[in-house]
Amino acid sequence: MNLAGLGIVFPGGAGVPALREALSAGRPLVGEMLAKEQVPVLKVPAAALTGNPVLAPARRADRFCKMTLLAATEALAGCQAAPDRIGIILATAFGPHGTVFKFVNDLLEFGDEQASPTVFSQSVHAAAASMVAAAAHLHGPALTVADLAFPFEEALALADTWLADGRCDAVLAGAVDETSDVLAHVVRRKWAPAPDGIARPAQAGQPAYVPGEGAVFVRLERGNGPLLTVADAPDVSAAANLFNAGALGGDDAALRRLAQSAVSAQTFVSLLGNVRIGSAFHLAVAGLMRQDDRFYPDVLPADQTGFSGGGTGAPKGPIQVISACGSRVRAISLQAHGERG
Amino acid sequence: MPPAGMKAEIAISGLGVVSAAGGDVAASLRTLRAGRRPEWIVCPFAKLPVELPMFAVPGGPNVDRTFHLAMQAVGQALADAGLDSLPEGFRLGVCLGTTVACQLNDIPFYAEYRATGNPSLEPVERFAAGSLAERVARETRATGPALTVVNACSSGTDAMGVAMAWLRAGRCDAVLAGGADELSPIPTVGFHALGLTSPEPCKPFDRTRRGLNLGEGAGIVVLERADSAVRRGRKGNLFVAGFGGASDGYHLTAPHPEGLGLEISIRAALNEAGIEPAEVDFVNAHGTSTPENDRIEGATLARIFGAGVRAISTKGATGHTLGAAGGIETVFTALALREGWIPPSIGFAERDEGIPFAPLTEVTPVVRRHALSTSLAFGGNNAVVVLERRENPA
Repeated sequence: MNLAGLGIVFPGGAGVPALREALSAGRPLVGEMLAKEQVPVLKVPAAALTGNPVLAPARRADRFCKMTLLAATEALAGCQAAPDRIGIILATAFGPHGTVFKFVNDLLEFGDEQASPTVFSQSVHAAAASMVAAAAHLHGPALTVADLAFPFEEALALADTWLADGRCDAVLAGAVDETSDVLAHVVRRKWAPAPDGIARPAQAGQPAYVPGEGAVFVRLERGNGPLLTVADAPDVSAAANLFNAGALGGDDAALRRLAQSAVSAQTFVSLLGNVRIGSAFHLAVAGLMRQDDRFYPDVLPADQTGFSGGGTGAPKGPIQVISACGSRVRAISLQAHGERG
Repeated sequence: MPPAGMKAEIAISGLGVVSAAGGDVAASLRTLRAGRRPEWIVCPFAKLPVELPMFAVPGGPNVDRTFHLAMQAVGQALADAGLDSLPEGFRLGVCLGTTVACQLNDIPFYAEYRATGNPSLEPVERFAAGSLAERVARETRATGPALTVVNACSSGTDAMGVAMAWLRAGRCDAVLAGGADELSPIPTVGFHALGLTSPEPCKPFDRTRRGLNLGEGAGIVVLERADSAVRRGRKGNLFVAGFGGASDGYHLTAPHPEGLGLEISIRAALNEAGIEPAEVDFVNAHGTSTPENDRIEGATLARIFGAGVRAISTKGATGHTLGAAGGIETVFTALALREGWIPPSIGFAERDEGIPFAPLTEVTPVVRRHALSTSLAFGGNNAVVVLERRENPA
């Protein structure tokens, strides 16, 4: 399958140009301190979630739905497939948990009788993908999946079968997660907050996190754009390796071991925050590297990430996104037409 | 592997089910054949001005209940498939639907967080131990792909579609597919706020239906590549022949008024099965007993299959089990084909003139090879499976 479109919302803003700008600047984003928890978080700026006409159908929706709608709509732009031939697969780790807790909070505050049907509707994991389908009048299959290990990689693999089986002519595959006060609380208690507000991989096995959030969607088709594949084992001889390090509860030690023999090894966690779905964000970075035919500068020096850094000029060969969870590793590879994997 | 261009056939090698209708296949069959509504309870956990009937599974732990319900059905399905212990190198995948188990929605945890700012993190640790599919995969030592589908009320049926895709792509030999969900205050209060719950036992497709009753349970099928089943010496005669999934693309809470997504799903599933509507024996409908669902689903089924469509809803025996519903109803549909009789639709008494057919109310012989199970979900997701019974499978 091929990467035909890309959409993104992240703490640096909404849209591919915002990502390009953040990558070009080569500086980490610094989380804002949540006063209640004293934990820095990297949130999508409020300005990115207001005023965009794309959000008109979601004007009363929660952040999760808005991030989803923005990223999916951007990835869908220019798609020629018929509405009943476009599928959606949304992957998440924690879903719209901020909305779930808002619903629970309202029950505790006002009682069961006063429960809001609107908040309940948006607390359902599938609501965001349904909103995309409704806004764009899509009638292909729409699926939301939730796992902690490799939900985005599984979404991509499933999209491949939908295209191969002829179920769809295009699939919007995405990953979305949000941060919240409760998640920040869990980070403070379970791990530790990063003291300077900069998200990094675990240092010497000690994670210090900045919870982040965002939405990334790719539009997958046959024969249009760079070739995208998902594999159980990475090939670190790839021209460029982007490590999904610093994923909440991920296995940074396993990634560092793999990185030792890699030609180039970068991580861009400092532009997203610590999330479970960072492989989707890194795939967006890979997509831009492919499109712009260049390495982007490292956001942090190697001694702060444990990864040696990227190359210079253009990556001559596949670009790979590598994630680890427990004892398992998954890789997403992006190759230009005619490249050898 | 099948020849290029030919889709791998998918056998149903094992069935497992637990719901208010029964704790296993045999007990469920007795309830369904008798056509009697099983015992129900009054909602014990929501403070609402009405008493809401619910269909609970007796006993079992309250903590981590969805996982335990799932494992109960998984154990049955694996035993039925002869996979109690997995053969060397056997690649078992796990794809399960759920709604409650995907949310960190522990009310006592949040109440303590609100009150003290220092809650026990035990519910978080439990959640962080893995999704429903990931945990079932660990428990069963499955080495294939694992994925949890959270597509609201169509999750269990959508899981069948994912499993079929994995099997046809050669990612595994068999898949534990279906769904599980427990009764929970959150959907209870939420569905009540949406005006979808009934203060009396549900009556799918009945003129006087007033809404749904929530239920709990799990329904699991072992879907297996037919060539794998043959290698293991299994000679089952049940197959899953087609799947279709589609969005209404219409509204977050209201179904498409003409059932557009459901119609696309049904036609896609029939097309994949290579059959015409007239070849379908019966439809195990979603039939939640809400006024809108039953009216729109009824009209759509009649449009495709004719007003003489033979349809039932089994929710009168189980309640609406949300993420488990598609799994449980696929199991019931497979059992009907296997046993050769269609169970009566419990709760129906009065014909609704707005629905072009009345569901079956007596035990009715199966006369054709194919049957459908449909699921319609909040948000406009629709999923359909076509099951097939062959007298002399190759």
